[in-house]
Amino acid sequence: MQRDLVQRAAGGDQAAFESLIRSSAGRLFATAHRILRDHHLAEDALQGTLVTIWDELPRLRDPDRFDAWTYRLIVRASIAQAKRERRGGPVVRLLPDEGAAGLDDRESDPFGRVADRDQLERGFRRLTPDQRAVLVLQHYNGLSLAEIADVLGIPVGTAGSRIHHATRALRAAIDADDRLDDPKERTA
Amino acid sequence: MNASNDLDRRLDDLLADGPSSAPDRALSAALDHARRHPRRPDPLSILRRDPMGSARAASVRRVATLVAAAALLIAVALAAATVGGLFERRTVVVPPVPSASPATSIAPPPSATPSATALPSASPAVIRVDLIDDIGGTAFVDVSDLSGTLTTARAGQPSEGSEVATDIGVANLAGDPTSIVLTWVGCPSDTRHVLTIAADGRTMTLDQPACTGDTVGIERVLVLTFAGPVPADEVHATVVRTGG
Repeated sequence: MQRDLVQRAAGGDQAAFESLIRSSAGRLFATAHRILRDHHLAEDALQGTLVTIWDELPRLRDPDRFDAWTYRLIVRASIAQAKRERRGGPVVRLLPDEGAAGLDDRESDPFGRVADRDQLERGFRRLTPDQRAVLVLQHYNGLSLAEIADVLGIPVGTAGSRIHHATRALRAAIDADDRLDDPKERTA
Repeated sequence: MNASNDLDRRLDDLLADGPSSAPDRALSAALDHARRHPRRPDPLSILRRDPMGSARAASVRRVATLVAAAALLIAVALAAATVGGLFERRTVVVPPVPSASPATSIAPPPSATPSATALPSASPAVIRVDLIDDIGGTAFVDVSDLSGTLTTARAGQPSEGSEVATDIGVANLAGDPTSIVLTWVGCPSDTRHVLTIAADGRTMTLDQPACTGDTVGIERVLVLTFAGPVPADEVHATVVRTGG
């Protein structure tokens, strides 16, 4: 069904294009939103991606690669959008730290869970757009390592390395946040 | 539960939370863009890179495409050259061989009026001589020399003509043994005559248009000059009347 829509849209069928993007826009917007953590930036990234899909679709030779291709477009658009936005914003320097202690202690505390979530959100926002992208593709979109590599157009080993570094950076960001919350650390 | 798994689970939870449907504004803008930019046929689409193709495949494909394009250009050039060559052969004009017959070196008499004109397309060379016609006719004779000994041909004055005992009179021009004067009687309606000088240089055949109706005869005189002496009594001239 989608293959037929892709082929028709590539041939200039606007009705097919509309059906195609209506069925794809949700997952693309959701992906952009998870990477950018901002509704308006994600909306801009989605719009640019949909326009690119129309313009470039005839070049896509294998219609079965449509989903992977659109993931690649939305990830690139999101990263570009994040970098544009970051130019005017503050620069956050991460202090790498291998320790991950203290996470289990808050499991039973509902308030602690909220605090955990906020802390994770802050840590996630501190990642680079590329790091956020690989984590979103893995944790939200559920793509395998090979699929992530395919979407990003990189070797599988490189994709694995990026995920590893992104996870470490996230953990370091959370730990750094922990230290800021600890009164003893603050006064030390 | 180790810290790594816990972080993965917390990240799953964090990312699961959020919108899953796209805002209409982006969809509308994209559809509007599609309407304003309808797809046009792209003859070079095969040359464009597949956005999901590997770099290596793209490179191989590009090289293959360039090789194919070069081969196509060469084939087209060869085909054009071949077809052009065929056309050229069909339209080629073979000029008369200038040295094949001495008759081509014949120059029209410098002062004669009317004059002799070599016809370029005949082989052996044909000399056209406009005959003198006091009554305004347009008679002429095409002289074809197969002997290669004729040097000039011109219309003769009536005073140069000889007596016509039969169909055609043959005499040497006074004081010039290399020139033969042919005299015959024609009609006012005469147009084209053909005189053929055989390879022996002595046998001459005149194709004369046949006269129609009762009319006054007109004396026709043609002076032929050869490379060497041609005794008139060795010349055998006959007239053949053609047409009507």
